[in-house]
Amino acid sequence: MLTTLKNIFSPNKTISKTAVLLIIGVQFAIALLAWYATGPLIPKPHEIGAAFSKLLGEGDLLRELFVSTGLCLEALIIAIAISLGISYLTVIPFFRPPAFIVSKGRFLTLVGLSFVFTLMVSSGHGLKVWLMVFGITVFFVTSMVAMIKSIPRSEFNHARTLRMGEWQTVWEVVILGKLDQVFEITRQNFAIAWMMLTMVEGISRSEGGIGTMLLNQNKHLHLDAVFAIQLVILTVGIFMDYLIGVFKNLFCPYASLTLERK
Amino acid sequence: MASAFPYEFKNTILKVENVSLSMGGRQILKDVNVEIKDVVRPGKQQGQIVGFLGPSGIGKTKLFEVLSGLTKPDKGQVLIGDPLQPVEVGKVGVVQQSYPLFNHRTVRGNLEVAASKGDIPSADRKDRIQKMLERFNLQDHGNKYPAELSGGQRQRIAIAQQLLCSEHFLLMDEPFSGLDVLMLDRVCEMLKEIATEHDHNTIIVISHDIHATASVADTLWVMGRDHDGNGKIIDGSHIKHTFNLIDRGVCWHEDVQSRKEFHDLVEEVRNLFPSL
Repeated sequence: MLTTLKNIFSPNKTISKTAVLLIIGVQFAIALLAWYATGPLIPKPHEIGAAFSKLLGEGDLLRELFVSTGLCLEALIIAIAISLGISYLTVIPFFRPPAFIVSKGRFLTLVGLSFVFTLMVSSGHGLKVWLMVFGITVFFVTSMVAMIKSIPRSEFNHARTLRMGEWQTVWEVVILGKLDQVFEITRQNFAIAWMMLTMVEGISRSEGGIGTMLLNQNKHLHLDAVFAIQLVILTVGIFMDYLIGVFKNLFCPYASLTLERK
Repeated sequence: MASAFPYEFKNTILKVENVSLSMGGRQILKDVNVEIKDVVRPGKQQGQIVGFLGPSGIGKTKLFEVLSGLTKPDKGQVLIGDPLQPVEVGKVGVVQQSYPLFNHRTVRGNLEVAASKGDIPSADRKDRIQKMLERFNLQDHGNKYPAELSGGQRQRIAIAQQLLCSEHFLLMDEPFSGLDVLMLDRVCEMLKEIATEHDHNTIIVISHDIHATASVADTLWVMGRDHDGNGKIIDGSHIKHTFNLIDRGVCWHEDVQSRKEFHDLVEEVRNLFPSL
């Protein structure tokens, strides 16, 4: 027991599942106590629970959630396809400058681009999708290009010494060899996309969505409902993150073999 | 001293001609000249193991890259085979120091991809891979990923990959680095075995480990740099000393490491290192 306690507070220690559950339990209890100790402004868990039931029954929470998740996944799939194309093409010197410029696009704000995108697409849905695609792509390409650049020369040379041509080397070393990292980058970028959702749905409210719902509740200062929606967003986000992790382990079982903390 | 074993050098099978290489404005290699000849022992199947020795930072790895065709020299050329032809990537089996493998493929998968690039007919590949796994004592590890293997096992997979893919040349960068005494002996035995499997099998070891390299090699080349009148190092390594281990009686003996001549040779080479 004493050793477990010592390990919990020592750096780089691997602890048992029971100890992890214990830590989570204690920290959850502290958070709950702190929550109840705050003033009346912050809604309490039972109020949030009641607001959640109300949103579920009367406010079409599930429908809005479905709309938002669909939008996010659609944008994510398009953005991954575009980003992978741009990133993998950086193996050819000619395509490096465009990738560099795209990655610098992450310093632009989506609000400032909404008018340009409105002119380019015909519907509110299209506007939201392409704003998100832009938002995801600039970060995705940045991570992908950095990952490709960090592949050691010895890995390329290994493929070459096995008589592989340059394209096959790219396929084996960059595309197949780093697939696990693509899942990891997707995981991070899904979080970015999920975070952008409320902002994008605020720009175009035509289809509704959980972001629109959140903004409406926020406008009317229904803080219990706002917290309930935030918790839903958080839960779905964590679930999707977990799901991408499951896919990563399914398709790349080798990825976590050498990790100390799996 | 003449060798206790009759032998003769036949055709040249690898020739390094006036190879020079500069990187970042610094001369790394300067006029490196080496010739590896086919060693023939009457009534015996005997390949060659040659060693390039030199202290760290002397340019051994760069020479390794030039010999493998991965780096083109600024001047000179590397010719390989019988008849001699300019070296190209893939002609020489290359085992790099870090033993890179395809981490997304299993051990068997790594060997399959290598076999598919070699000259093995597709119908024979499965059989050859299985034999290779058995030969390197890895038959129980076929379905494992490289991340699950020890350093020694990774090295054996890397060698097996190259043997499946390339012809008779195997170039190894620091194959004895980081191995314990037991593993060191096993690797030395393995290299000798590979060398005796075919007359044309040629293993080129690039190392700073004098003892281990001398225990397997038949020829040693010691790389070094020149010094000016003030004792300052002049950039650009080249071959400074050549040792024919066959003639010195320290080659092909079962108990070579226990022989006085072997220890004398190791000492002689070691004494050269400070001046390189």
